[in-house]
Amino acid sequence: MNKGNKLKLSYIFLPVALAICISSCKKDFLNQRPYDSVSSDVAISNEQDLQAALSGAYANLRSSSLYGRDAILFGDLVADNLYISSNNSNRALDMYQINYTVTNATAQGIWQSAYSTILDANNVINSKLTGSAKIDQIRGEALALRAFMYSELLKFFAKPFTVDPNGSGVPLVVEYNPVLKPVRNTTAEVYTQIVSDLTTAIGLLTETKSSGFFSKYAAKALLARIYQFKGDWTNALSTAKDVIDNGGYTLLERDEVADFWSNNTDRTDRKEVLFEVVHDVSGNAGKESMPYLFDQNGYGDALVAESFYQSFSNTDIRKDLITVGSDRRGPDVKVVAKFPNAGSSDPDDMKIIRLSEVYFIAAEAAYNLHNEADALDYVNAIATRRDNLFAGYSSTGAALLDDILMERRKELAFEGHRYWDLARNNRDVIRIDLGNNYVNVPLTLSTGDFRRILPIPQKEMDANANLRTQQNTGY
Amino acid sequence: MKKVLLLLLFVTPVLASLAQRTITGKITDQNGIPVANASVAVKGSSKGTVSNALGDYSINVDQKAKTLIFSHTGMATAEMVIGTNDEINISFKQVEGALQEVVVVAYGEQQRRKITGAIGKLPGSEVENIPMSSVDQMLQGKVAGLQSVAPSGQPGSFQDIRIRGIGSINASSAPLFVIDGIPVNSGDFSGATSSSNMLAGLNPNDIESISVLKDAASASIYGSRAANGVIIINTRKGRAGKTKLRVDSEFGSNSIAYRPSAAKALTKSEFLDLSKEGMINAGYSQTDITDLFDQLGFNSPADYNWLDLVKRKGQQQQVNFSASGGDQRTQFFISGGFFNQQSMIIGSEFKRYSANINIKHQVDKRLSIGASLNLSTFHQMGESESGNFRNPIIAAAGLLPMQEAYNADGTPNYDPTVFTSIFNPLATAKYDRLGNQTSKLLGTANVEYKILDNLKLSSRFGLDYSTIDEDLYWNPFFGDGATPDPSSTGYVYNRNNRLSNWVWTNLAEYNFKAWNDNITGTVTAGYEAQKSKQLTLDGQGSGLPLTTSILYPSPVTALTPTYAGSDYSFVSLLSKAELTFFNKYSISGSVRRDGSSRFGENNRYGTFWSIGGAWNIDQEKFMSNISMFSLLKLRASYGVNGNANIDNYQWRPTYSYTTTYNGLPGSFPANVGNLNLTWEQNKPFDIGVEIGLLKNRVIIEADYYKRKTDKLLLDEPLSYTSGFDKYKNNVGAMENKGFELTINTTPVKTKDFTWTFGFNAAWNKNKVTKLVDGQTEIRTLPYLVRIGEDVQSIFTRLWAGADPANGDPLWYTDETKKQTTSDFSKVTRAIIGSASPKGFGGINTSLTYKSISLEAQLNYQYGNYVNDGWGFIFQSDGAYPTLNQYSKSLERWQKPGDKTNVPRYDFANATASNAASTRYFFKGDYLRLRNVTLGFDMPPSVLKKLQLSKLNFYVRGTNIWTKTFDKNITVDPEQQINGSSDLQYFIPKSVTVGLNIQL
Repeated sequence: MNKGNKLKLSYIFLPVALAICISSCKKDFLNQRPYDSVSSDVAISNEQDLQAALSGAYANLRSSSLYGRDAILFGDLVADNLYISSNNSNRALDMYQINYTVTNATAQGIWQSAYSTILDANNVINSKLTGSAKIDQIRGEALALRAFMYSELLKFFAKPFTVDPNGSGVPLVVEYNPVLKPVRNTTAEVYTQIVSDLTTAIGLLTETKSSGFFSKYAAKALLARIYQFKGDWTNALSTAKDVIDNGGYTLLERDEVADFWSNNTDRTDRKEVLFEVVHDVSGNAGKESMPYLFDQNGYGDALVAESFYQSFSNTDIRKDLITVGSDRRGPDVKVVAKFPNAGSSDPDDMKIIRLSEVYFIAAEAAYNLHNEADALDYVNAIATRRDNLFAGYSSTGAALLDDILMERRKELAFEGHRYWDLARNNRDVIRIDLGNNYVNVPLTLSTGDFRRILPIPQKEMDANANLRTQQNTGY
Repeated sequence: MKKVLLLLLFVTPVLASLAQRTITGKITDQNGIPVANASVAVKGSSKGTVSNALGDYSINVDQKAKTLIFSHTGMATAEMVIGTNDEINISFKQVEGALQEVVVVAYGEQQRRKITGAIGKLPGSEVENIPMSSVDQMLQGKVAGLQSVAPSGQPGSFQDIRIRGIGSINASSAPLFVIDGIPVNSGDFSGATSSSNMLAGLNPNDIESISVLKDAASASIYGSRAANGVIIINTRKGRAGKTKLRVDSEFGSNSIAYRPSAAKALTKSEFLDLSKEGMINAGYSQTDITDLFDQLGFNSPADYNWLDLVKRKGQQQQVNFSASGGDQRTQFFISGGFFNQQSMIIGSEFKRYSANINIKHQVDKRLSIGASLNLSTFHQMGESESGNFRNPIIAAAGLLPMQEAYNADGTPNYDPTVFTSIFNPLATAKYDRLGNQTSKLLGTANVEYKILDNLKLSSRFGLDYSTIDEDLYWNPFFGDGATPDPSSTGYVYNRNNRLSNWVWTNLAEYNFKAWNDNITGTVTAGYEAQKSKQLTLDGQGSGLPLTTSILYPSPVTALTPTYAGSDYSFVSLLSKAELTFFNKYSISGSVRRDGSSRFGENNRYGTFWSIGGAWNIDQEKFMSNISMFSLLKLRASYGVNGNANIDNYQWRPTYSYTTTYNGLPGSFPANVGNLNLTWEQNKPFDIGVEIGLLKNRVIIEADYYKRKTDKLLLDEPLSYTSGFDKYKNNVGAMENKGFELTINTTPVKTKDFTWTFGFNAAWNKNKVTKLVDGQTEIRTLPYLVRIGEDVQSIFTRLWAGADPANGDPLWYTDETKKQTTSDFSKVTRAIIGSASPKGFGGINTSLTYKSISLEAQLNYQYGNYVNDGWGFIFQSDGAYPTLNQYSKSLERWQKPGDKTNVPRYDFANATASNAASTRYFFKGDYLRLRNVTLGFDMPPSVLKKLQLSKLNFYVRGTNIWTKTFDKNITVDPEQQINGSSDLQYFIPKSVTVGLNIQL
């Protein structure tokens, strides 16, 4: 027992040694890393990372707020192409009834998703990586994406440039700063950024990977559309011509239409599509997609306005893209059949810009530049390719513009364009024959109505005091 | 000169030693059990030593020494005159009185007299043989200021605990649990189970003591995790002496504790009459009504009471065995336990097997080692709660008496045309399964080495390991799993969650005395490291074989299993010191520096501290003539501690890789992060008084506290233009202040009869003082967090009953209550009160006459509102006409002039009368007889014959009586912290009989 009275140093060494060990690795000890993500500061450190970040940005486009559903559906539903059956799943009624408040979920979704995509793109654009054609290509695609998102934000939240060029646009954010509380830039300022981004992108893009990614000519086509929205017809025409003449893309022929629309993968044959959002087996919008809202085995709520259906001649191949009758909603209703893969695990890809649209841009531009012969050539190139018995338009003056817009409406039906054609031309929306489903549904949306654009979301106002005085008039 | 001094320094001890003699002896208590660590001092000198585990001591004294002083916490100090004998043995007497007892505190034990903080304490005996699955449930009403409520009555489910109010908004306000020195992972770590409690893995019969640390002085040493209080639980240890064997056994049954009459389901005739009336009110013709009755299946001959169908007599059973003892060098405690609780609702039960081993061994005078191992495995079964169609509670309330429960052959009927929404709970219980097997290991190994008699080094390694295996099976024929497509019908889900959490604590403790023992003190310093790792693997599948007899069927469509993890770590330097002067004045201080992986690189370390003081006034000379006070102690404390109870990794800006585009892997910014993110900071102030009157026949403890919490971890909204919507930031502040009172009395104490009576009460007031800049409120209806108001304010419409003229619903237009309206769009919301009680606590009493004892505990709560979250369906005035209704619906308006709270019953009512309003909020005031026990102790004379040391028989009632104070209440008044009822299983009322035998 007496031995125990002596200090046994050996007993102390062990804990002391261990304590020193732990202390020395203390810094690392507290640096616990998540299992399923990486720190942002190292997330983009090489070309592969940059490509992944770009893919992440594209992936965002599939959200049901953007090109999964809402951002496309709006263009047809707020106009006169579609209506919602009274037997519905409560979806998209806000658009159909043109009834938005500051807490509107559609507006918030579009705003939030678009800016989220802009963040993804900003991080790619602002990465320090440079020096290879591949990196240039990636940065070019990101620039085109950012331009695309800003042009979409302007459509939904700002008065058209053609109506009020110096009105409130949307806040321009080109660098990541989470605590920034930006104010709205003017519409003109945002367009300047868009044109600059697209111009830079066109200089950087060298590859045409597939229709699922931005390429030089996809960016040019988008630029032509931007000029069209600005009413800058000279640039619109020259840019559209550049795409038509030099892009290497071919128009869709009549006998190719059915296959074209039933195809559910991106293309590399430069047939018609310049850019589309790919919805494949992984990460598609599923039941919250627009095709599911058309599919009578899905929700099937959105149906084609009878008058619009009747506007197609029987020899117009596009009439086949609308089928008649639904088990659930009656034998006479008209159903969109342009997107037949809603029930598939690999659903339809959403066309963003295709060659036919570029022809219409050229036609409208030529018309506005008083070159009616060229305008007729461009519009007839499409019209006669769809209806083999149609000899082509020969109208002049205002009637010609109406013909261009009507042909455009038919060709680009259910692809989210109709309302914006009316908006940038500052025309009233007049809905006729919506299948007798008129409950709380306005039949006109006139040019002076504040509901022509969406409200800035309340949550944005709550978080960003600088925007509080900048709400769109009427909300 | 220097040389002389030096010489003297060397020589003096030598000279002294020449004159010294050694005195040895043994120190025991009154029962002859050796007392370790008792201090032995020479009166009038600083010389001293302590006894070893065998109670032996040895001290060198010089010839002048006259007296030895023996002292030990909890024992009466004794003085012995040094005579000629070199051996002095002493037998201590235990001291009566609360202030002498030893209390488990953070990183050690302390004499109650010296404690400067507010600590609620419970001996293990208070949580023995209670028919509840986890110890947190047993704390209800036991400790002033500790609110413990059961969100669900499912056996083994999670219990909510708040100490001194709610301290956080977006972070958790739950306290830290420290078991045998290990800050454990407490809470619910299940995935599919409705509610599961990690603490249910600890057998309460294995608990030796519980200390609830409420203020800065007691809790701040736990640093960044102490803000919402700390609950220290120590498990049982052995003591040297004769081996004690003990068996505890009880059985009983469970039924529903409280079911208000207003919420009784309608009988068949009541429902049919009401439906008919509703159809007439809605303008249906007699033929329409006949058709509608037919269509809706109201003409079915069946007549069931669905609550009776899902109810049963739930069995309650537990058996515990323990052995403890040891010799002078080695002590042990071994126990085994079995606990089984069946809910009174079919399909829900909890079964636990547990074992506990604790060993301590004295290697030599300086070195001792010890280990404890607490093992358990429990199996919990129960259905999903809330609005799930498979929930038997929703079935009991909503299924109609006319729905046919059985097939002709007696099996449960699951025909989807009969059970169109809510499933037949009998069929679900028979064919589906949801359960978890949770196994837990809580082990510690420790070593203690005394460098000097008063300097001790200790090192303890603790491991808290849990594995939760969940198993969900939904049959392919009906219910949630069924689809018409055979390739996807049925559903299985399995999840395995493992948590390993280790803690390593190294401490040095130094005790000292000075100034003729007038100053005593202890300084503790140490280092602690902790890491918790969680790994979760889950897999699911559908497309099951069309049979229910395969335990783990292979799904046709097996979805890819996912593997996820989440870790955290802490490193800490800690120190505390306590000084007592003249046995009267104590001061304490603590400092802890914590680093945590949960916080941002820039703010990862924080320093937390406390100071406290206690003044034992009764020890003052001027009190010596005042005989009334047997104790009078004043104490106060202040300090800073923190709350780190948020999810891991939140500070990190991250990119996630959970997406692809067109076949390419994609990444995206997933979390904003916040490099400055740090703990919520809590600054508790406490002042308390402890009074003993009439030789401690009356003991009063009262505390006033005020704790201000700032740097609240809030979700700060970001402009969407950043690409994000929110991030965690340290903004916001709130305060809790309140008063706690505990009184324990022994009004009668005679040889044969003792009566004790006591109560505890707490009143807390909460106020939110700051939110994110520019934000004045956060709405999560029906709750509202608003600056200047209680954090659980209820914000809803004010119900005004039925319009006597036509039976339309009426609301007040606003909080002034001046005007009523039937126009729902004109109704505004107002704050009507809070879900937090104004006051709560417990009242206890015991009567002991010779061998018979009667104990009772009555818990209470008042001043809060509870919400029937599903009242809008079951008191819907016809808005849900195909679901059964509460019997409250019978009070509906029927004819002009009727004055009632319940509007006209319209079939398919669309008046919004059932929209959220005060109609579904009730006063939460209640009294509940938590425990009443009648016990019989075999008298010692008989015990001797039976060769037993104890034999006790009891009958116990738990939750057997409940009184509410709102005649409209439709739910049990005991609800989760936010007061919202969510169709959870009923809280049980248990009646048990038990036998306790000790050898």
